[in-house]
Amino acid sequence: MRKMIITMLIVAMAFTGTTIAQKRADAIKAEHRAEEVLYFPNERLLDSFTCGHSSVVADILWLKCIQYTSQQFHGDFKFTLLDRMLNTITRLDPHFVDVYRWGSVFLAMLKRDNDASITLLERGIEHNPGRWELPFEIARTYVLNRHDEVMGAKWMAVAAATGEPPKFVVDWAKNLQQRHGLDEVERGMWLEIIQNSNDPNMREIAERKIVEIELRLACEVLNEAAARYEASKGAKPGAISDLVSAAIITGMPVDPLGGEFFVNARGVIQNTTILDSQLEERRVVLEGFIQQYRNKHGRWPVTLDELKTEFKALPTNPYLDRDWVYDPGTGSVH
Amino acid sequence: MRILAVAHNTFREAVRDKVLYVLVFFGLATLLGSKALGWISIGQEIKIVKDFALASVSVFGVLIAIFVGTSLVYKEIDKRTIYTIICRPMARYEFVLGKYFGMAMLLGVVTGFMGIVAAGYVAVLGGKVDATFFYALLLIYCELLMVTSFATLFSSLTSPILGAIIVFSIYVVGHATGILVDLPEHFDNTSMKSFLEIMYYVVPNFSNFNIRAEAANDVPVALGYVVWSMVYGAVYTAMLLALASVAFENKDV
Repeated sequence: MRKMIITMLIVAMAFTGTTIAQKRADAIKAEHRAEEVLYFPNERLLDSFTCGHSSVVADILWLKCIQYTSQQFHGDFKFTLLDRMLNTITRLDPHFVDVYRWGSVFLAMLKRDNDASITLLERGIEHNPGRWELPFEIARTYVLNRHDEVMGAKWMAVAAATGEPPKFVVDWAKNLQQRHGLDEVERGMWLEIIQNSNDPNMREIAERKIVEIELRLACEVLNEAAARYEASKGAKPGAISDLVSAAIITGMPVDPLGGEFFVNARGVIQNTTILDSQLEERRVVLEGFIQQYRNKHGRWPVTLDELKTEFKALPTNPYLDRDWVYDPGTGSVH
Repeated sequence: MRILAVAHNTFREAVRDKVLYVLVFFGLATLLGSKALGWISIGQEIKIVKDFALASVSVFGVLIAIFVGTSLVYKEIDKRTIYTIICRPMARYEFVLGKYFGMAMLLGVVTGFMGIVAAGYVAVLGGKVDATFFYALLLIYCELLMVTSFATLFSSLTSPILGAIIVFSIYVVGHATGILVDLPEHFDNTSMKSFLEIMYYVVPNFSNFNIRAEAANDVPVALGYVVWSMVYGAVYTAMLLALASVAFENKDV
């Protein structure tokens, strides 16, 4: 009986000990979650020591990459390790076309790194020259993110001539080549993501982007109305309500994304949702320049003007009445 | 004829082994369960299912080849059943070859069964099962035959546990032979580079038999590549079986 009690005590103590240890380990793991991803394995080692199962390892790492992207989407929104993850996966399985496709979309639209997105897709084309999806994604990046119609048309033509593309790709290629209806092409591309993406985050972004197209078109219509106002009154409107008062438009325009239409200092009607989106894109580019400066000189620039010696053109704040607020202690820009 | 008799008995004995059924069960479970991974991925669910299907055929085939193969000859010696065989008018090499071919039959049945289930599963899920998928299965079988020839050789020389460790190490190294020729620039014009290049041709190159990524991604593979890989496997296997026969001839039982 005594032995039994002692044994049970030992077992209970052991379980208590392992539970405490497990809790401490979990707490430390949670604290260092970002560092954990830093140990994302090196593809050269993995390729050699997966006993020929690199394709399966690529599948598993792709799931890990999706989890990481989702975490960042709902968290810091930095996607620092995304390029490395995608490079590792595509080097392990160079024929994994969906990783090039969705990875490039993540890089361009979430991390806002168009160069990395295009580089990834170009490497995909080297390994999968018969897949129309890859030049199609490059065209999409040029049109949607860089607003470069000429390069978009070039790559869309490549997609239309590669493999067996669906009819809409051929039609868009024609559209782009004729340089007509670019907004329709852009809308179609986002709709294609809404219809075919399995990722709710991507669908959410695409839905927002479609609304942004409508807001851009609304700005164009409002500026045409402002031009008519100026022609009849001899001065630019001071506010949008002036257009309503002059019966040029029937009511105040509404932004479904919560932004506002306003007349800027130059008398041009703009929308805060569109400007905020541009602001974020340009901020990321500017912080990229600052990081490059730090990598080269070993310190953050004291002012943003120092960057002008290294980079020809710095992105400007899309709000005419605002300047960038730079913190030389952290290299961040607001 | 005597080789076939031994092969037949080896096959029957291995079929009765419970380890075989456990491994096949886990292989099939991995294969069928791979669809769950497709659900949480973005795109290419079929690709993931094909990857896991071919990987399970390969991994569980290799485990069977190593764990059953390394005890093939040793078990006969350990249980002393070898004496009832070698006292008959039968050359020792016939015994070794019979054991090997029995295992080859077993692996053929296991690979064929799992391959048919995998192809059927992919087809049911709406995937395309083309020639490359079957080439991949064929080369997996060739790889298993080569692993079994190593297992047979070490079964004649060492204990099953040590044999299994050695064969598994050879299997891992055999998949990493690319390192021997993919050297950094500072190795250029050195004797080490020449030595490693020679080693590249000496060490068994199991990556020759790996076209699983191509099969999963529907990338066509030239028939010539499949044929030359099979020739490589056949020649290497023949050499190992010759060595196994010599080793068993010289073994004092």
